Amino acid sequence: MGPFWGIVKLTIKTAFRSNIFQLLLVILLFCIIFVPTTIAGDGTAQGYIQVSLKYSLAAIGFILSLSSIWLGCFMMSRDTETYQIHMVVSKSISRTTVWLGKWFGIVLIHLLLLLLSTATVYFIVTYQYHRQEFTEKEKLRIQNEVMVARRVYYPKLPDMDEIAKRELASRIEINKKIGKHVDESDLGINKMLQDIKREIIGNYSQIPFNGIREWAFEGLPVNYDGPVYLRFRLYVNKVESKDQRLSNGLWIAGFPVAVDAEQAKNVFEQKQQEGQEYNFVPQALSTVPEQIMTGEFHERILTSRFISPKGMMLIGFQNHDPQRAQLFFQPADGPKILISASSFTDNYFRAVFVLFMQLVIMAGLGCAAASVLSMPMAVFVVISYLLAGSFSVILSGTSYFGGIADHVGYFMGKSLLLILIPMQAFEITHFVSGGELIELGLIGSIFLKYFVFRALPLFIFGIWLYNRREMGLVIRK
Amino acid sequence: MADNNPIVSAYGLTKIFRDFWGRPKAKAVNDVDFDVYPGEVVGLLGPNGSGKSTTVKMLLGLLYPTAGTLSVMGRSPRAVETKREIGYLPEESYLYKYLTAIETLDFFGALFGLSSEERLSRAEQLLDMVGLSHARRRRVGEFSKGMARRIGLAQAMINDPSLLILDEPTSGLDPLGCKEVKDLILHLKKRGKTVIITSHMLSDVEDVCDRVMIMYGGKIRATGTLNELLTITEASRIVTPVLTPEITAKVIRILRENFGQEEDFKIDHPRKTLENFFLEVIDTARRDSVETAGVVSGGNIADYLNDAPSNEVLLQTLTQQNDTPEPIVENIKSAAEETAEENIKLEQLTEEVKVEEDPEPEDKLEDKVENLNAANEKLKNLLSSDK
Repeated sequence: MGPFWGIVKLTIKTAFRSNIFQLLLVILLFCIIFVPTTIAGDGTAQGYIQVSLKYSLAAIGFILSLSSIWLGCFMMSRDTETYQIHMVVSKSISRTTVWLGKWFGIVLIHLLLLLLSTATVYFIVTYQYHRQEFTEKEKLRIQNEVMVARRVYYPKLPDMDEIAKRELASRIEINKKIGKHVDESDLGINKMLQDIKREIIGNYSQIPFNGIREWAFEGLPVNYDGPVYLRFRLYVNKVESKDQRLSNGLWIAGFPVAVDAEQAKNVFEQKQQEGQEYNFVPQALSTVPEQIMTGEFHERILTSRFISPKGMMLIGFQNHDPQRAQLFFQPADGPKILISASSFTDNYFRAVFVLFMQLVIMAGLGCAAASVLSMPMAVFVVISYLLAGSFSVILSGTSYFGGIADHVGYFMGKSLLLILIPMQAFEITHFVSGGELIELGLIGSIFLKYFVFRALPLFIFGIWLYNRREMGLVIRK
Repeated sequence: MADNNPIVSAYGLTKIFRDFWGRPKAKAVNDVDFDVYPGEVVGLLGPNGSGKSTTVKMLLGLLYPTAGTLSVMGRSPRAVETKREIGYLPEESYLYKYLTAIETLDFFGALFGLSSEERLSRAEQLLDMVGLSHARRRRVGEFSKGMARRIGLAQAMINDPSLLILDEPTSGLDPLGCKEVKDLILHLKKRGKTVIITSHMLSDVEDVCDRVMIMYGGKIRATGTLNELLTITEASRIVTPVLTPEITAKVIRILRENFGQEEDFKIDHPRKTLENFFLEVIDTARRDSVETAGVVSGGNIADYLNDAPSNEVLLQTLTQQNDTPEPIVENIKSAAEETAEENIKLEQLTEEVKVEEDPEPEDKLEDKVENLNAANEKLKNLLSSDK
C-alpha cells in the first residue's frame, strides 16, 4: 500500500468515526427505506412509482451532497487544526498526494453509499411495482411510460429572433409612413425588439378558439416499430397553475404519403424543399374532440406509422374549448415526442452516474476550500458558491427586461455562470421518473462543462494553496 | 555521502511572523547560522519563546524561512526525498487517537512506501523496543502520556531515519524510560545517525549530546561541545578511595601550604546521581524478580535499527580522514594525563601517611595472621580432596 492508499484508507476510517457522518447515514437509511414505502403519489399506479423514484433519488442526492461537502471540509481542516498533519507532511509524501488521497477517500465512501442506496431504491420500487395489485392496463402504462428510457424529440421551433427583427423593421417602416414617432435609440430599439419577441412567442404559444397549431418533429428513428408517445401540457386563458380546468381539443397527426409535391394543398402540406418526397395527410386521432385537464402533463400513444421514411412527423392541435377561450402551449412543455430507446435499468444508472459526478465535484470543492480555510468558513464558502450558481441561472433566464437592473442582472448571471456550478445542472430525477432517457450527450456535457472546465481548475487551485500553506502557522485546536 | 558535509546547514536563517496584512509581528528566529554534522547528537536548548520550535518547524518544512538559507541533506526541507531520511517526534502526541498502536505504525510506514510485510515486521520490533507490545491493539487515545511518547518515538523510527529530530523526547517518561531513550540515542549515534534534541531536561541533554546550541530571543547565544561549555578551568577535582580523617587532615595541610590559608577547599564524598541510584535499585529488584503492575522496560533495540552498516560504508568510516577536530578525545587525553599526575602526587601523600600511621596493635595483627593461616589450610585440604 503506497502513501496514496495509506491516506485513502485513513480518510475512510476517519469518516466512519465522525458523529455527523453517522447521523447523515441514519437519515439516508431512513430516506431510502421509508420514502418509497410511505408515499401515495397522485393515487394512480403511475403516480406512485414516479413520485417514489423522484423523491427517493432527490433525497439521496441531497443528503450525499451535503455529506460530501461536509466531509471534504472536515477531512482537510481537522488534520491541520489538530496538528496531525504535521506527522503526515513530515514524512516522504507530497502534499498533493495527501490532498488527492483525502479527496479520493471521500469519493470512494460516497460512491459506495450511492450504489447501496440507489440499488436499494431500485429494488424497493421494482418490488413495489410487482407487489402492488395494479390492473393490467396500469402495469402496461407504467412499463411504457415510467419503467423505460425514452428519447425526447422537441418540435422544430421557428427562429424567434429573426422573426422579431423582421417584424421590428416592418413596424418601424409602417410607423414612419404613417408619421408616428419611433424611438430609434439603442435602448428604444432594444425595448421594441423585446416587446415584439414576447408578442411573437405569445402568439406562437397560443391557439385561438377553433384555431390549429402544428409542430414538425425531425430526426425521429425510421423503421421504428413501437409505441410513440406524445407528451404535452396546455393552459387555458393564461399560463399559470391556478384557475385551470377541463378543456376540449382535437389532436391531428399527419400520415406520410409519397405523393407529387404539387398536390395536397392543405395545412399539412409539406413545404417544397429540395429532395422532399412526402406529404402528410392529416388524420384526427379521435373522432370527437377529447377532454383534457389543462395545467397538467398528459401523454397519448401514437403509432409509428406517422413517422415518415425521412424521420419526420407532423402533429397538430385544434382548439375546441367549450368556453371559446384561448389555449396555450409553452415551448418548454412540448408537445414532445418520446420514443423508447433504452431500458429503465440503464437509464436509472445513468442517473446514478450523474449523481456520482455531483458528489465528486462537491467533495472536491469542500477539499479545495478547506485547503486554506477553517472548517466553518470552508463550508460557508462552498454553500455560498453553489447558491450563487443556482441564482445565476435564475438571473440569466430573464426574458423580459423592464429596466437597467434587469440587464445588469442578466449579464451578471451569464458572467457568473462561466465560473459557477449551478446545482440545477445535476437535477435529473425528473428524467427517471418521467421515463425520459438521460442522453449520453447530456452526461458528457455535464462532465465537460462542470467538472473539467469549472470544478477541476478549482481543485488545482486548492491543491496549489495547500502546497503553499505554512502548516506550522495554524493555531492548534 | 562525504561526512564532512553538514547534514543540516543554516545561514542567516530568519523567520518573521506576519499578520493578515503582511505587517511583521514577531521575529522568532533572527539571523541564525548553524551546521549539524552527520553522526552528531545536538541539543537545541532555550527558554520558551526562544525560537527552538520555530527552527525545528523550518527543518521539517512546516514553516518557510523569511530570509536566509536552510538545507537538509543538501536539499530543501520541503523536498519529499529529504523527508525520506527524517524522523520526527513532536513535543505532544499528534497521533490519530482512534488508531491502535499497530495501525499507527502501519499507517506511517505506508507513507514511506514500505511493503506490508516490512511494515508489520518493523512495527512489531518497534513496539517491543519501546515496551508497548502488550498494548499493540489498544487505541492511541487511551494511552498514558508516557505510552504516547513511546509510540511517538516508534513512529519516528519506522523509516530508520538518518536524521532524527526529537522534541522533548523524555517528557512524560519515568526514569527507566528516560534511560532507555538515552541509550537508544547513544546507540543511534554509534550507528552514525544524527540526532537533534530540543529539551528542557538539561540533565538528559547533558548525558547524550555532543554539542548544544542555546537560543534566546531568536538568536544562538552559545554553542559548542559540553566540555567546551561546561568545564570550569579555574578549579581541579580529585577523586580518591575513602580517606581517613588523618589523611584528610594531611591533604588539607598540603593544600593550605601551597595555596594559602584564605583559599576555600572542600573535601567530601562524591555523590551518585539520583538517576543512577534509582536504576541500581530497580535493577536489583529485577534480579530478585519483584513483580510490577506498571510499565515494563522495553526490549532490545529493533533488529532493523541494529543492522551493521554495509561494508562500503564501514570501509569509508575506517579509512576516511576526519578533518573535524575531536575535542572530546583530546580533552579525555589531557584529563587522563592530569589524572595520572595527580595520582602520583596522591601516592606520594599516602606513602608519607603510611609511615606516620600508628602500627596496629599486635594482638589484632596476630589474630589476622592466624585467620589467614587457617584459611590457607582449609584451601589446601579442599584442593587435595578434589584431586
